Amino acid sequence: MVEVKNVSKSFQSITAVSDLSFSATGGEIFGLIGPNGAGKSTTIRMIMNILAPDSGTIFYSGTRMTEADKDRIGYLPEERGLPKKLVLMDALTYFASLKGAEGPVVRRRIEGLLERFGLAAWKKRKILELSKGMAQKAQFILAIAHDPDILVFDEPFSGLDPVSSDLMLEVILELGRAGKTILFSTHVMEQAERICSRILLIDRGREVVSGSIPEVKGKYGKRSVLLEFEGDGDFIARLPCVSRAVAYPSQVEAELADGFQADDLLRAVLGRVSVSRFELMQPSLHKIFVDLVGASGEVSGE
Amino acid sequence: MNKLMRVAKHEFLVTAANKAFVVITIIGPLLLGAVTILPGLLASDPRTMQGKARIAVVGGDENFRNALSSSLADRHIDLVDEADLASAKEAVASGGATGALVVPPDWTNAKTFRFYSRTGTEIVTIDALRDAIGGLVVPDRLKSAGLDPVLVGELTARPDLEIARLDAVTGEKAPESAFLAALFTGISFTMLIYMTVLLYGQMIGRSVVMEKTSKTVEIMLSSVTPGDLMFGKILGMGCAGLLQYAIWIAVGALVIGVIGPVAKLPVPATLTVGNLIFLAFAFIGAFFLYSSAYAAIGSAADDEHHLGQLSYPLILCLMLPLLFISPIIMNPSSGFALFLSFFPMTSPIVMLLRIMIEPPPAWEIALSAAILVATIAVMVKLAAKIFRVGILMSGKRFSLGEIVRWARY
Repeated sequence: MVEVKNVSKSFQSITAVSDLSFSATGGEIFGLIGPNGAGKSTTIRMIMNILAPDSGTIFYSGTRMTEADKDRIGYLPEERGLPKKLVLMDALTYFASLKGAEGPVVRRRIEGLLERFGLAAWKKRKILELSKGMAQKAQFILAIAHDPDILVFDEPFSGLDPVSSDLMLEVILELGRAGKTILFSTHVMEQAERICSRILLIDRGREVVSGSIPEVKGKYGKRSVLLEFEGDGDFIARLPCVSRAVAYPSQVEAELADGFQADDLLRAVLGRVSVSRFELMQPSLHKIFVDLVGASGEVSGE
Repeated sequence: MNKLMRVAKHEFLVTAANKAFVVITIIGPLLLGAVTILPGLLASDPRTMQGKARIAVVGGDENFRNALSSSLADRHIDLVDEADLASAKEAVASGGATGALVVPPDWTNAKTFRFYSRTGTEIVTIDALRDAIGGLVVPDRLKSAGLDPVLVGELTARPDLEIARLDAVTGEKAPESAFLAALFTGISFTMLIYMTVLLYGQMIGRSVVMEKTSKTVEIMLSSVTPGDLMFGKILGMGCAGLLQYAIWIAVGALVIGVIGPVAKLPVPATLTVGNLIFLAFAFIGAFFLYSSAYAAIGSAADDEHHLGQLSYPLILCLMLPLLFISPIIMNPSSGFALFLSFFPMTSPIVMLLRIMIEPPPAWEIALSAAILVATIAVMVKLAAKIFRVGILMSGKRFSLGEIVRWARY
């Protein structure tokens, strides 16, 4: 279990993380979510004991984190990098040994992972010969090779093809089922929604919202309606009960304006189009993210 | 094994497998041999470097030619008679002869002889010719003037000035062709330290910069402390350097103790196993000082180019003894040499030079070593602080002044 308690960190005049608290327990996949520059990586670096917090404390299994706890963590940093001139297998065993994991058991584990990720044929090759996707997978193997209790994945899927991405997801879910504590940072909301049991959304170093996915969605209510219809539905987006809408030829995702209920929308469209589906939707995490953070203008692409 | 040792072991293996390491390990003794033993070899027997020469001779009578031929026989020069200058020149041009000597008709009273050469650089052959011609012509002139050439030779011989070096340890006089030998040995030792310290320093600097730019450092630091990372690198590469010096000392001992006496190599008096061991100590001192400085600037540099710029002051300090090697060797107890042998950035090399030429009092060596060790301690501490800050900084080119200020954090 990892617990972050009232942690703050500033660099000169810039506050990167401000009074942040959360905890992630074994078997759970915890999502640290936020736009670029929100303070995710700084938070992770403090959890990894690479940076020291200005104030606040980080606990591992109830006790204050020490340097020795580094051995229990597996880390996939956002900015990938492996020593290019080393042979793949040598690099993996060296980094595992730095975590205190040595011997035939570790070697077999690494070989098993290489096999699973289709890199077995490359284990005697230098890292600079690997393609970008292969290097990504190698780095993921490096993070989990020493069988740590706690895993920190910073944007694990960025730049991966769908097949590799699914394979990595499968392994991450397996690790979760095996009781590992998984901390997962991303700014891709669809991924977070699919994988995480709980999330913490941060912006400018502060907590914006946290909780389980249903909890977070619950807070922002069911104010969206999915409407499928036949006929000319152009008028729907202009109805007074609709504040915002995403319109397709036979489908509209409409957000209800304040003071209106879903019934009002249904009444307004009946008779003008033929309704085939009318559903109150939970907003997607993506939408919540954009609503909460987008206003600050901090959201940017990768 | 703790993490520091794991990093050190890894860095040692990576360094020792590096091509530069292998090349320098081989070049080291060659350089040492070329600079120290070769000049002695050339001076004692110039023909080591040269095969037999053939000289075409034009003119001169039978007596002169026979006398010249016999006096040149043991200098590995053969004479060939040529009828006229044209055919002699042709023999030279075609490579049939090294050169052509034209003997003037009245050779006893001639002021000059002429020698045609393809290159004009066969100094050894030309010297031999000059000696032999003089050795024939001058006694001939003395005889015709009624003087005894042997007597004149004895009377005009200058007394020799024998140079002896007073050995501080034994108090005995050691024969000395010393200055050159000391200069050559000194230059080669200085070069070796300069080469290796620069090589390993830059290797450490580059390795840190590369881990930074390739972002490997993030993973390293998720496993080890910045201190372990930095000292592991320094220790690992230092051990590789020491291995190299151990190989050199072994080769040196073999040459000085076994091969030298058997092959009668002119090993200079300053090239001893003891001095080679001092050389290794000087390397250790200079290495720790410079490598910690290199690690610090490597951590602060944004890329290799930036590292190069930041390392200019270090390279300058490292070059100082090389620039002033001649005055230091000529006058090892001058104030200037004394200063450089205490100033920690230059003391390892300059103290080594002083020890080789005129062993200074033990307290001077101890003081110089103490200053060096204290400076290393301070430098390592500063470097560790700078390293901790610098290793996570990227995207900006900091100046040396800014970087040094990080040590205050």
